[in-house]
Amino acid sequence: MKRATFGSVLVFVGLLPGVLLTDGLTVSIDVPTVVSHLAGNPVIVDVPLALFVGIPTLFTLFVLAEATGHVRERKPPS
Amino acid sequence: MRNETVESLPARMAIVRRSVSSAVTTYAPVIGFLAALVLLGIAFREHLDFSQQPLEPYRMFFELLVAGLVISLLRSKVGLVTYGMFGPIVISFILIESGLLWGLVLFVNVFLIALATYLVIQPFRLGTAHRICALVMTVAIAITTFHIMSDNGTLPQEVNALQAFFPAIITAWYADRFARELTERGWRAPAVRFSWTMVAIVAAYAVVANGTIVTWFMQTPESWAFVFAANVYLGAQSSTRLKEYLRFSNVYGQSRFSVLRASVRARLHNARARLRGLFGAETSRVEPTSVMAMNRRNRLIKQYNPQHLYPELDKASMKRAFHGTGVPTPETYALVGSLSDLSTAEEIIDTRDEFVIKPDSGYGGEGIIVVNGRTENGDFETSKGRKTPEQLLAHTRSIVEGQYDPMGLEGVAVIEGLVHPDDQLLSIAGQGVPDVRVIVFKGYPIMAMTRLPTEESDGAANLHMGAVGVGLSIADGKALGGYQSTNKWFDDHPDTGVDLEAFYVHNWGQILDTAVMAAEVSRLGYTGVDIVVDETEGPMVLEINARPGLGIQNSTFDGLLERTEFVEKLPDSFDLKSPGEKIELARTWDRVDWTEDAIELEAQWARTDADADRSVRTGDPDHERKRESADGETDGQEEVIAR
Repeated sequence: MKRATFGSVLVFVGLLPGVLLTDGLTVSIDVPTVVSHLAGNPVIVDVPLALFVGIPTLFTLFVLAEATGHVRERKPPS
Repeated sequence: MRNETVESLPARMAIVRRSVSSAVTTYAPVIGFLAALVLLGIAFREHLDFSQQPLEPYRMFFELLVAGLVISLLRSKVGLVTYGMFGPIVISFILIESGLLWGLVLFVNVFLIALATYLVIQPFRLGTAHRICALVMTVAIAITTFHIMSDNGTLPQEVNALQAFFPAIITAWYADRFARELTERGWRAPAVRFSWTMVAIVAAYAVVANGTIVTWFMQTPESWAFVFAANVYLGAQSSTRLKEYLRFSNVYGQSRFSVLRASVRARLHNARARLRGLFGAETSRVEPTSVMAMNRRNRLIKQYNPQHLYPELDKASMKRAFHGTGVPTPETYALVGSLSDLSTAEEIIDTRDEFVIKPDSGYGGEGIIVVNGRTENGDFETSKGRKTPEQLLAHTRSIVEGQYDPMGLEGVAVIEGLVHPDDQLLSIAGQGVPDVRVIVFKGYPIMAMTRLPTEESDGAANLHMGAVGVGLSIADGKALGGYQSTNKWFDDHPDTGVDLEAFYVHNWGQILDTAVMAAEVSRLGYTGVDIVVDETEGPMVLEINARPGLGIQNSTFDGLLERTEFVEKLPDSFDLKSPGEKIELARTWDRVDWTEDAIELEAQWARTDADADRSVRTGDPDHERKRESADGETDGQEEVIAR
């Protein structure tokens, strides 16, 4: 499978069934002790929300990096 | 800069009358229209009670009006490249419902789903109708799913704004454009357009969300004429866009601030000149710079490339015209214009090993597949990787079904012979098919460059894909240095290391002849002709462009405007010169940087020609040598000086 097509399927799966099927799923992340004022209070990440916000955010950052020329010119997907 | 003469009083009065008459003819309809708009506003004021905000139900139209003015300003004065003009405004409406952050997240998510759909169905090369239908369907499903998830509490309530409204078709169309650009041109071009579209969406949101401005316009009907007048005024200007000061900074050859200062000075001078002109003084306009910017080019195109010619400029029509008039162009195997003609394409794919399939109306190299040869198992090596005969046939069908047509209507697939470039430019580039772009204006070749493929461009001769554009002197085809569309300049070819300022393009005279002949056949006044030099057939026209790009100025380190102005100022008698004479003149003018007095040069040229004729009559043995020297086509210059 071509890279772009594979990425597309992943995005599609992540955004639609992914968000729906992970309903109610949360991940608890312990705050490292170096951040003393937050230590002891684990951060609860809502997985569906993380997918819903994270995927477009990553895409937007990637597009901005490409648009501003911070990556080498890429060839079109063959 | 300014040329004024004192006339007698009656003569000046006659000039004033003519000026006033001309101004009335030009401006009266617009002034009448504006007056009618103001009258309409006054009538509204008389008949409606504005304390009751009677136009509130129609607020959306006023939001469109104000945001539209802002987006058009960003496009025409700053140089934003966006997907459509009103699309960002319509999308900004969802941000009003859901808030800026959630609205953008929502939009990008739905866009991503449409984009993913396109890339998944792409290998099947669906026709436009089915492709768009599939995209809109997944967009509709995505909107519904997000809505349900918001209802269930899986996603925040703000996402429920979808319930009110979501521009499904616009988003699907954006994804379609993005994916097509991505597959043809790589990530950068669609990424730039997408980023600016997001900026335009946020700008439109800022305007629409600011109720004060929109409410003021709604409550002040007398001001509606202002938006119309502002659009007419701004649209008539051909000023340089902010972005172009950066893009052509190298050609300006001075600091950006001094360019801006020159621009302001020229505007003041032109305003004064116009005013003086009304009172009979003979004045002239000045341009702040020699660089041709996009707005100025568009004005030139409107003036010299009549709209009625455009339907005849597609590749299929031009192929017919070139073959009919003897302009050298690659052999045409077939023009596949309907599904019933596909059997012809099938026959060519079965019997030939080398050919090119291209859509008749694509741009930027979109949809072109170069078939270089057949493999042992019957597949083909192509510019888009290995393809089976079935895939090539499917590509041809998708062209016929309108995939590359700007309107998504039917298209024609042009199947033509493969050009084998001659050794000179090929040895400099090391790969691909290098070509020569010649800008022809009113029959004069005024600027040229050769586009050399690189490893980065994967063998393509497109600047935006990483090919290097090397400016060429019109006088003798001498290379002037290399440029890549990412504002990188090269002294040597990045792959082969050949010095890009130390060679003369072979067959230069023939190349200019061919370009001018093709421009004549197209009947376009301003055009870019793409020529490739075949190893056996010589220069051949690959394509003719009615809207040639402006990047050529960065490769020649010189502005186009200086040259078009030079040609425009020529006396009418120059229009009657033969193509051969125009080429000779252009080469002469190029030797003196298009700065000398054209009439004096023409006189010199005529004298030289008369002397030459006398020499022929008197049997002067130096005659041929002199003419050859004047042509700049000496043997030494024809050599490739490759390091």
